[in-house]
Amino acid sequence: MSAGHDHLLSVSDLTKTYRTRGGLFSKASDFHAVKNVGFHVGRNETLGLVGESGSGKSTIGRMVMGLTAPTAGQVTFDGEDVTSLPASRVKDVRRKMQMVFQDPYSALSPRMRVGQFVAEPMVVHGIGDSEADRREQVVGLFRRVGLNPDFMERYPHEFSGGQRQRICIARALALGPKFIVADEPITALDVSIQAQIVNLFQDLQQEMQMSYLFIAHDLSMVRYLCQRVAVMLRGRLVEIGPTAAIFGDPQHPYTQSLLSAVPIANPRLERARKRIAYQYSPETLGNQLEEVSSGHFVLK
Amino acid sequence: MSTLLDISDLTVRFETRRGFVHAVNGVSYTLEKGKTLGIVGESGSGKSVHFLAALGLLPPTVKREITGRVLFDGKDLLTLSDEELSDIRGRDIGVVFQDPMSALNPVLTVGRQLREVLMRHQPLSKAQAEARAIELLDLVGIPEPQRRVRQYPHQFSGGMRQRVMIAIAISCQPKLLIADEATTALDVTVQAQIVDLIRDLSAKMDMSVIWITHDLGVLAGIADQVQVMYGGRVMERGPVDAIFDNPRNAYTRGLLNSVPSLDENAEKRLYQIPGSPPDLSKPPVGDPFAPRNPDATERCFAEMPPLRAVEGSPGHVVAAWYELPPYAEGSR
Amino acid sequence: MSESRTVTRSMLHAFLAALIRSKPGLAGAVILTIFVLAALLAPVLGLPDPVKGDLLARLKPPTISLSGFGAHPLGTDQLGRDILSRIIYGGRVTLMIAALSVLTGGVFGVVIGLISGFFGGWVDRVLMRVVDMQLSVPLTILALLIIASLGPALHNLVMVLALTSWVQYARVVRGQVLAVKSREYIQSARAIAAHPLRIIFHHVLPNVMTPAIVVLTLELARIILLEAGLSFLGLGIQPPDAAWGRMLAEGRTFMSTAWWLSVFPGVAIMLTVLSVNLLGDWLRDYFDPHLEG
Repeated sequence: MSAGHDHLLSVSDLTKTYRTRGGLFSKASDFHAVKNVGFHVGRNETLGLVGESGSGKSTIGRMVMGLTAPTAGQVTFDGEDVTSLPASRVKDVRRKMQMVFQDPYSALSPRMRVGQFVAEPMVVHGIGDSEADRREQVVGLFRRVGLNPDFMERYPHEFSGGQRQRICIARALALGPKFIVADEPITALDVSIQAQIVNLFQDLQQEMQMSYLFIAHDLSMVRYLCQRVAVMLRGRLVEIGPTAAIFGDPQHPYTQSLLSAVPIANPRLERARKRIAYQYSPETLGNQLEEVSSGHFVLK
Repeated sequence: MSTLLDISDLTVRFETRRGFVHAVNGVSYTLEKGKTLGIVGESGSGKSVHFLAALGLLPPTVKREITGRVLFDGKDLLTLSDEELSDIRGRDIGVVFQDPMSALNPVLTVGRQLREVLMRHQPLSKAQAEARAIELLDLVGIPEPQRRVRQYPHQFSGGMRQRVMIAIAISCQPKLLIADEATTALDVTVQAQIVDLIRDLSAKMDMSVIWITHDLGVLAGIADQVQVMYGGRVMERGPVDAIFDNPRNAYTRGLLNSVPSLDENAEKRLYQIPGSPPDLSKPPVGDPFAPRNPDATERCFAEMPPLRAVEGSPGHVVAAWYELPPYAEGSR
Repeated sequence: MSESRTVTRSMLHAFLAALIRSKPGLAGAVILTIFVLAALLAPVLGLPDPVKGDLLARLKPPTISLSGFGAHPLGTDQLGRDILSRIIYGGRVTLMIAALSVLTGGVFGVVIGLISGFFGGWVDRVLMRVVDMQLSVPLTILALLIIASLGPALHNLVMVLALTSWVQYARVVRGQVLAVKSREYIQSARAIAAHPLRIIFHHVLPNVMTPAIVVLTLELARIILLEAGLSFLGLGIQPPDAAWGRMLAEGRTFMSTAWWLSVFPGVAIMLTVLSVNLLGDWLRDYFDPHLEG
């Protein structure tokens, strides 16, 4: 949490407030989608950002990418505050950070051939000397994510969900980023395909020395990809720590409830299992992150 | 123990511009009264299509060819008229789908929608139906049912909406409840609550349940029997413990191994099934999983294996020409 | 360079092959091509003068029959002018006006719809108020007023017809843009820092063209009819030049005695509108990537 480290990404006091419009019978009010969130991601590290619907996790992802402007707080990437970036610097920063989206069915431009779609970032950023050169690079990207380059001329609807997600990953890699925000990249996929994509993320990280902010709606896959995990609840960060600590010694009752809700593939254990229910109330949530063990913080 | 549902050799083909799609290929199974059958498979496995076809719920614009027999309580559903079928749906068979928002009418109150189902199938007055609607909302765990019954679907959260769908589905005390990916779109904590709710209701009402999902993990806690489907076929079926302890089909084993584990000491690399599901407009001659199965034999590619009994495991059947080595969790 | 030319040629091949496979599309294309060719080639077809009449041969009935065409295959009008010739020359005017108006109105409307939907905010509010204002004015009356004050020159006619048309495109395209804008591929384009114009033309425009093409076919038909209506009221193409609407209007007084004066231009209008609709339907299917074989 402390400053002075050479983190690739650090986020502090990040807040996003939406003003709901007053209607005929209701007053205008503020809604905190994200409130005072801070974390960092080290080089070559993956931080899992876990929360259920309405927790603000995707809003954080978009603010980190600069796609949504925060109401308050800083996002520092590679030593540069990206929340107040001059237009001339935006392109340079985007070369280093990219995003993979949740729904592979709406993430691909339906009328663009997938080869073009993967090449587009290079066109926008003027990478590659010629069309042929970029094509060559796209072939390489297709191979890297496990797709047959012969499919370059096809349209998105000819691909399955898993293949589409590979195409999106290839596009995100086209600029050679150091950091990828993966916003629930496996949620919409079949279980057997989820494993393939998680493993692909693992392999790419090792090959290309990248960092990820891996956003997920439950804890099940996080253990395979993340060195550290952050748990979000209604816009607040309630617990953050090394993966082993979160899974082995969860401190916040909400984290415990999340863990107990993930089904385990063992009928005898599962039938005997007691769920831990968590009742949300804003008063009991606390205001201060306290360190309970090295690097493991809980909202108290 | 008596049989409630007996499906034999159910086959569904769709006619599309590019030819026939063989969505369901000779599926047979039975379901006992009061039992829960979990059906697991990925998209294109036929797990949803087969029951939609049996209940006459496929969109009318789709050209289809359905053959086989679906005996429900002694009647063959495939021979019934639309009218007779819609009498059975809602009264004897309740269905809960993945997306409650599109299944509920946004401009009618939840109470009105419940009343309509109740009054269609039972001789109730409006006041009686209203009282029953409140009872049902209470039964599915919706707090303050007297107030909630007068609200509209958009005033409910996703999980609460799914509870309303369940209330509608069980309103006429059906003999069978079909939950088709009913928790897929929900948060995990809500999913756990819905799973518990349906398990309780099933026990309380002596209701059979078919739980359709792509997530094998969910079935561990809820199913008596598990059936694994792939490429429009049944690959394996058996008592839940047998399927999880001793899977005999390579696809089942792959699915089981790719379920993530929460144990912090487990392997840091997930098992992945290689390849992708078959194109059912060009159905494979043999075992549809053979191209993704490293243990496949030559015969697997040439001929579809029939379901055969697994030795020493009562009620456990598998479609496989091969014999897999004994199963140890996390290995293959 | 040569590679891209081959690609273009093979795309054209695929387009034509698909058109030939579709019966309604092909029928529409053939009828429209015949009308367009006839209009373009009118001067070299050796037709009688469409403007100069032969007063000795007034109101002659059609002479077309199994044995041949005769001097006036579709008959003559009250001034002894050849109907076939007038229809073909009239087609030149009518089709040109319709095409120019539809294109002008279409391009303008699509651009407004794109801007309004994509940028939103006050831009959207201002543009949509303009649309509402225009919709609250009876268009035919507006057209009459403008033509009456500016005079019935060709470019005025095109301008007025385009003015009645752009609103339809703008509204449909804006609605579609709003739907497309929330899709993740737009976010993805923003994530690579693509220029807004690139996003609009590469990602938004191709995905809103289908409804625009549908509007185009409907509008082309409507504009041909409106132009006919304006000519009918005497505010379109001025005599002695031929236009289908005018011919219809002039023939009206002779309906009971010489039906061919109004029936043949009417059939010309109907066939054109029908062929445009058939072709439009097919185009919509062709450009839908989901239906590609």
